[in-house]
Amino acid sequence: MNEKTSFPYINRELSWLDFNARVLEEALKKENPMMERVRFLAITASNLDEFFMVRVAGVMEQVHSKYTACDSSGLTPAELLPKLTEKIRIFMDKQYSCLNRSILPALKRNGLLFLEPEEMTEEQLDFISQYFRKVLFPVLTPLAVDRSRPFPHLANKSLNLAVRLEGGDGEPCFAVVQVPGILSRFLEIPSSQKEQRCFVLLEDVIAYKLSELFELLQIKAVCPFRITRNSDLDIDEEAEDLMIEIQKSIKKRKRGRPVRLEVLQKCDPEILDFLKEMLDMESQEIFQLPGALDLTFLSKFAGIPGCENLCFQPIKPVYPPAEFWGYTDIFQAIREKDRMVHHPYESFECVVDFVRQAAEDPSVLAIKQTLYRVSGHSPIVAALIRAAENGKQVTVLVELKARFDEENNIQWAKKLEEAGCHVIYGLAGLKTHCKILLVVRQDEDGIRRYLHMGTGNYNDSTAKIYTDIGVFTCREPFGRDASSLFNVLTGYSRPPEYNRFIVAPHGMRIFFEQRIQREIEYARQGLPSGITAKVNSLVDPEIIALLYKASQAGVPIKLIVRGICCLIPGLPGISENITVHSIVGQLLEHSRIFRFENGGSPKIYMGSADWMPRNLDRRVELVFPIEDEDLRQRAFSILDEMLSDTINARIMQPDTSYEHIDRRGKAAVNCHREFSKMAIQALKAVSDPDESKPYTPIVHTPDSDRA
Amino acid sequence: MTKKKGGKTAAVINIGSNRVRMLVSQLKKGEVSPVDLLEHPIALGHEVFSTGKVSFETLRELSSILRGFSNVLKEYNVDSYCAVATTALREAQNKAFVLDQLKLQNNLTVKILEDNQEKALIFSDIFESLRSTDAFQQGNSLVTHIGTGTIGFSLYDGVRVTFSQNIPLGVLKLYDKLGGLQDETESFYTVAAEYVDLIIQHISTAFPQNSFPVKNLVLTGNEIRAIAALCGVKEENETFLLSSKQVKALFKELRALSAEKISLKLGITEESAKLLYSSLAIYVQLIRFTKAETIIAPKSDLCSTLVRSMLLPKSQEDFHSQVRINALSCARSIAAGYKCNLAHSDQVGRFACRIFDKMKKAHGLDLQGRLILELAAILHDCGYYVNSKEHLSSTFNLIQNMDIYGITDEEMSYVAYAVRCSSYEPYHSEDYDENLYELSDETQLLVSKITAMFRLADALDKSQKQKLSDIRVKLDEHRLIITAESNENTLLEKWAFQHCASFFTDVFGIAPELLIKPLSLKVH
Repeated sequence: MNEKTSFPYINRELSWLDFNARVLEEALKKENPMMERVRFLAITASNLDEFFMVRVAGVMEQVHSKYTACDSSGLTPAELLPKLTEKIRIFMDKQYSCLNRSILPALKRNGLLFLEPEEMTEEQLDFISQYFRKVLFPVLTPLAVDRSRPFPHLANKSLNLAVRLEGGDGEPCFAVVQVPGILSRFLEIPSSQKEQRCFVLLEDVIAYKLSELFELLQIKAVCPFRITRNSDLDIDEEAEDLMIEIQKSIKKRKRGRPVRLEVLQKCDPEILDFLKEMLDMESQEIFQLPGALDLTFLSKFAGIPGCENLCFQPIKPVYPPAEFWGYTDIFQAIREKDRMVHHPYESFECVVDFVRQAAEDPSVLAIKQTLYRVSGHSPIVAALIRAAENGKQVTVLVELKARFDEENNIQWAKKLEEAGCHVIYGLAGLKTHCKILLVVRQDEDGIRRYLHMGTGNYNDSTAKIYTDIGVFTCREPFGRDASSLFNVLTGYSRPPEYNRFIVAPHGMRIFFEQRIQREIEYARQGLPSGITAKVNSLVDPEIIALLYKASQAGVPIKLIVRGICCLIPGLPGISENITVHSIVGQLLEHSRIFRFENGGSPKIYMGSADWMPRNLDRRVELVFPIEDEDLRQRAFSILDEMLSDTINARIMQPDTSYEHIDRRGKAAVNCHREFSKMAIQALKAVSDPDESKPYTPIVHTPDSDRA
Repeated sequence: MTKKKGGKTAAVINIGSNRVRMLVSQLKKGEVSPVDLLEHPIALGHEVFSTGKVSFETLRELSSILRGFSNVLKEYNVDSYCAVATTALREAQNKAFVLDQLKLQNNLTVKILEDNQEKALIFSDIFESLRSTDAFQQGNSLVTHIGTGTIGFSLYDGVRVTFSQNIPLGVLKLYDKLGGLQDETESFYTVAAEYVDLIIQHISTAFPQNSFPVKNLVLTGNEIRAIAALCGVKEENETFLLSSKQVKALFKELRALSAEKISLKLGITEESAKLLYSSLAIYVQLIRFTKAETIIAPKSDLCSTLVRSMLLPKSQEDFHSQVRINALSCARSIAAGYKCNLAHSDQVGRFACRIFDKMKKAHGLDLQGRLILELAAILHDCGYYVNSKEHLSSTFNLIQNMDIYGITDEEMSYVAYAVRCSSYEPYHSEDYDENLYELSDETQLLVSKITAMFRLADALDKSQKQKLSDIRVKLDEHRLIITAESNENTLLEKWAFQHCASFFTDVFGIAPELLIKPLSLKVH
């Protein structure tokens, strides 16, 4: 889309910054437990890092290459960049204000202190000196920079100390010391008071003991700095071997052009000039910060032992989920009816069990699965390897282009290949983002396909904090569609006419457009109409235009958009029938759900796709209908519950700001907590039946005994 | 792999002119149900129709597609599978090399289906799906399958096929053949229409006498679904009913556009646009020819027909029986066209079957052998139409070039040889060998067996007057005793029988004997 839309449309980058601001609000919220606020602050930092590496870097590249076309919001890259920078600076000011004025004092009140060497006791200084000598010193490599020694190449996001030195001859010189990334960024040091725990940052320890590294030189100034590089991979998909091509690109990422330099506000001016010159940075790319650089370490800090009371009461995934309670055979459970699991309220372990059981079941012929982001020691990958070892035909589509997971993905793609799995890397030009797992089984009455379709990745680690939904089914049309989809992904077959599946890029855009269009027709005919959609991002201009059209036709539209939302709700005559909720809370909202009232016979779909051009046009995405009546009702209630949240939800205003829900007269509803309660109650209902119900004896018949 | 339980599975791979398909099906509760369908495009047709050969590059691509299909076969642990190829590979000059390479590279034996076999499979599917359609059971229907490389025409009279012919001109070929004209004339579509019309006129001259009016037009082919969708027609009971007006209007809308323009207008690939254009040109000419108001377009699929025959032995029997009925019916129409004495042909056919059935243990031939014998009986006098003196040689040439429903060229050549060797001169081995020298030993033996039985049957109605109303056949250890009753003068029959008996004995080691008794008087 290279032209301004004729309708209200917010620039996606600016909208994303608003999302990060909502996360930051959580760090400021006093109702949140202390360590969770720390964690939210860390999340804003890591989010911003990625934003710089990809989005800001992208806009900068466009500016450098003199790209002058407008985006959908009507901004050229050259117009957007200063707006972005300004908004980021305001945001970072808030971040550090949050750190210095809110988080650190609150931590102190809870007996957790970050000390600088000048604030330490003798004993503490002794401790850090010992630590420096025994642990840090052996891994530090000071690199001097002078005429014969060029400025070293520094890894993306690495933290370094720039040191200004003076030799015996009075000649100034500079050196760089990298803060070792392999060691914890913070160190707990002895405390003189029982109720207090004290910490020091690694760069402060190094700075304190720096003279031991430069014995013959005089240290004039030291300042930590950090660079963020352009990290979007530029992959030649026509290359013979995609894996080698991606490995090359990962190396290039580490050397991408710096797009941000972070230094302390109190940075020595000469050091700053030196860095600016060496890194070829422009002033607007330099961020001078009033506190520790790289706040992502706070995420680890939030998890330090002994502070559990300062964290959210954990949401314990229910295992087994109510749907699978009492079944030792998952296949039997799925044969009886479709099953739905809501993570992380219900454990992801049942998906792992599904693959494990398939791997061991002698009747299983084949397993096919898409993998986008997988945890380090993925039990799913282990089960797939086991299946291949057991002689099953295992096909795994590994998306090597999953951003920032490329290296990880290459590692276990190799492992799978070694085990005899048929590993494929997807279709050229398209990222395979759909989440589907197919088990082909030779049942007593013939071949039957068991499916798991999800809204989230097959990642047991993220499944603990991402809210996602998975559906298990063995309905024949779904099975056939799944086989067809895998035949397309493996390159064996061209895209067919899917029976139930809606698959991008061939047909998903048109499907959504037709469904919205139909709601418009129903509204005009006076029939029940309405759209409820929950996505992570709403960016697609064509979908947004249609939603405006639907609103104008009187279709009530409720959107639940966690992140970027380029649509503006509540504008008179344009979008007054549209509301936008954004849920940001303890868990990361990730499921994608779409409900259409369909003239009184509602339809509900789930899947992997957001409403973004990349999802609809440049990725293989899957959206599937929910057909089982019980599951449909459950899916409806999930959406209803989210819409009734008054704790985590914000509502987007016509001026594009987000406001918390006015709780006056409303009950406090935290949908994450509610879903957790529901999962526990559902399990209780099946595992501990109501004793007040009449006793039903088990009648043994010859048939049942035989079975 | 684990011990197999559950339903039987089978797969069929079809290497077509512009795509390779694989259908995996299973037998579940006595029904054949599809499990998976794979389809991969390949430009085999374009290449073969323009260069005559399959290039190494395309062969490598084909092999790679088949490798993928083999992986899927493993995933379903299929019990049996077969791979067939149609027009493009059939017409490739280097087909033997291609088949050999596929065997070596993919361990896959590919059978090239003859045009008639392919069409019989497709038509059997069509007849099956139209069985309950009333309109189809009344009056004549022109059933046409428009493939990428060939078009198959069949006339169906409500009971059986009375005419069948294939022309080597499919939608892809038509486009390729006339494609060059697109740059030279703005009225490309008129050229296409005239060309197709000419072909239809040629075909229709060979229609049996009572073929008109053609009441129904049944059309199948890969493009029909797209055309139906463009006409806004929905499928009912796996059949589309398109109005001729809609199809004509669609053609009118598209006919002056290039393939590129059509592809952009309809949002389809350029390749599909080309095929759509040619299909529409053919459809419209067929509509004009038949004056049909409605087109019946049932679902037909070669893969599903083949897979059904693999999973249901009964369907194989049904198919064979249907081929027999239709082949004999077509042969009778042709024989009638050549003014053959059909009463004689029927009589010879009936006697030949009696002898064949009794001689089962001695000849060891299957039902296809029996059908060849029956066809020889029907067609053996066609050559008289051309030339009485050299009628056997004329018959031989005619039969070899006939299109008979479901019968392969090879099988037709057996029929032709069996007829050519049926000279009533005493058997001279040199002459006989001369007639068959181009055949393999195995084929010579087959032809000899058919010839021996055909000649005996033909002798029994030598006068062509059906003097023997029926025969009884008995096989002793070394004798084949044929008994009949007649009060007429059967000297000619006995003489003819005597003349061919020695040949029969040479072939089977069994001496035929004819015993004609006077008709017994029935006492009421």
